[in-house]
Amino acid sequence: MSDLPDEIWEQVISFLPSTGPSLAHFSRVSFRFEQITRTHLRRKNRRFEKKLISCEQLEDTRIDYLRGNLLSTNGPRARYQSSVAMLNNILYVFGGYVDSLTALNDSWYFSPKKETWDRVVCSKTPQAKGGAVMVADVKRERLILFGGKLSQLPQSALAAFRTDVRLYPNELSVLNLGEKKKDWHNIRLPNTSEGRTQAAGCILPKLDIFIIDGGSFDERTPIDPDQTLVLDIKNASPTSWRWAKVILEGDIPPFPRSIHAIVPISDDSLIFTSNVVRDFKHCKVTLIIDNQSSRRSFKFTFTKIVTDHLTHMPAYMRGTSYIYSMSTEMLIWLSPVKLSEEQPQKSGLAIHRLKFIENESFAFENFPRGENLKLNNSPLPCILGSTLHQLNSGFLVFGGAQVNPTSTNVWADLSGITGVEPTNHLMFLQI
Amino acid sequence: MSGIVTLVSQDQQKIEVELNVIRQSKVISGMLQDLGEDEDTEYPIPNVSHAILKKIIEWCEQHKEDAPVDDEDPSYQEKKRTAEVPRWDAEFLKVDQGTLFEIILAANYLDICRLLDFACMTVADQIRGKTPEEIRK
Repeated sequence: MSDLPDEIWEQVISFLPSTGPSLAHFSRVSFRFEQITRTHLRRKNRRFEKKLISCEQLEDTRIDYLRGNLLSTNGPRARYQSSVAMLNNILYVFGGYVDSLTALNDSWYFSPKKETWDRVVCSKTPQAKGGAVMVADVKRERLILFGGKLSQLPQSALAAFRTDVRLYPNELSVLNLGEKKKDWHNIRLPNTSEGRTQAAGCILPKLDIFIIDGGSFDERTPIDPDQTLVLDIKNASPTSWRWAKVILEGDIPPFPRSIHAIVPISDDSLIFTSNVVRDFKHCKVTLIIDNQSSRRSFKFTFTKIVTDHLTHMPAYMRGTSYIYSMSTEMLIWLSPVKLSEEQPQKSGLAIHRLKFIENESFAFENFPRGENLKLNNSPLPCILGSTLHQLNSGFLVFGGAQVNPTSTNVWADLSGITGVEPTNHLMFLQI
Repeated sequence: MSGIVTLVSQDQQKIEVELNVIRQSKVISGMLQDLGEDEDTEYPIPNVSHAILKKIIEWCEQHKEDAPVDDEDPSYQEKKRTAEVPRWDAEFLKVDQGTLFEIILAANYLDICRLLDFACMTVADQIRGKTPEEIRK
């Protein structure tokens, strides 16, 4: 099977799934096939980078493509701003707030196959908190949790009767899911970093780093990207993890932000999303190894994603929970508002997507056309502080709190959700 | 203008084919433009054997009603990654490997992008799920 020219083989393998063993098997047939596979992948990456810089509007999509299913209303207590991560197609939830005074420290998991919730029974847990960043280290089957805030009380109110407690703990905790006895371990590292809440985080598995961006030390001022944290998790043992040095390069770094997301789109690049200003940035991460100490540091090279032709930043472009779907090459997010209405609807939820294609300029289209999702004839109550995760061909949305119908500023509500009703609904949205 | 052109295959055999059928080959339609659509002119296709050229024409015959595609168009590029080979084409391409490869080469040479895509998809389907040893065969 080799009497075809290389460029034709390249075309053949472009039809092979980019995940799964087929491509790897093909490349192992012969040296020549390996070269062909390499060329194909190089070209594909180049194509992708080209796509990033320029995107085009999606063609019209119909609402019935999106089907929402209420999977479960049992399980964990209703909550918002909980920490949620997906590992091996299982959804893990930690903590969150019940109301502005009460935070939780319980851990749960939902198995989509069995459609059941179970509690992760731990004897040790992190402090009860909301707004912490949780990520899944898929390679070593563990969850990593950082930061958060103990309760929604202002620091001054807490300081009145507890001076020894940090309202924004810089706690770093690990839950090994591969172990029989599952327990959260508190990790103390020699170089510490300040705690923060409502930050965005992700893991780049190839580089073995956990990136934490933005958030806030006081819930008023968002944190600047020059304070972006990179935790080097290359060593298997968490006690030998280190906060690595980060160098920012390229275009102007993203504006300081919180309650946003950073979304990996390849082994070494991610998108910094935004919920306030029209400022989406592509970031390529390069590893730098110090010859003497062999310590790893990282260079972030930013590229602006062109959105200049959008004269007005529509409210629906502001999302709080983002994911990038590799299979469809789309950035998808939840937004608490519909279309261009700044004010929330009582049951407003819009799912939006952004698609990268190769020509023209970059554009956003909301999807579906800003309609409410009707779920079992009941309006969808959750939006603020809910999370979005990809599962097969659809998405899981968990928790959150209903927007106060009398609220005048939904974006203020995002940081300090008060007087709202949390939910424990878990939904599956199919596109 | 009769709308019929004569193609001459590698092995010097002549085949008559309707103009609107063979226009799906960008190479031949370019040739027609360059040489003029003359009934008496014979158009040499030196890289394709008679048997394969017949197969190619059979395919073009079946697809002559199809809307032309622009293979540079990103939305077509996008669609073809997720598309499946239509049933007729899948049957058409159920041939031994040598023939399939010759069809690919001919489609590539004649620049018939959809036939090339379907044929490449067929090969990709054959590769899928096989070990390196099995692919080598």
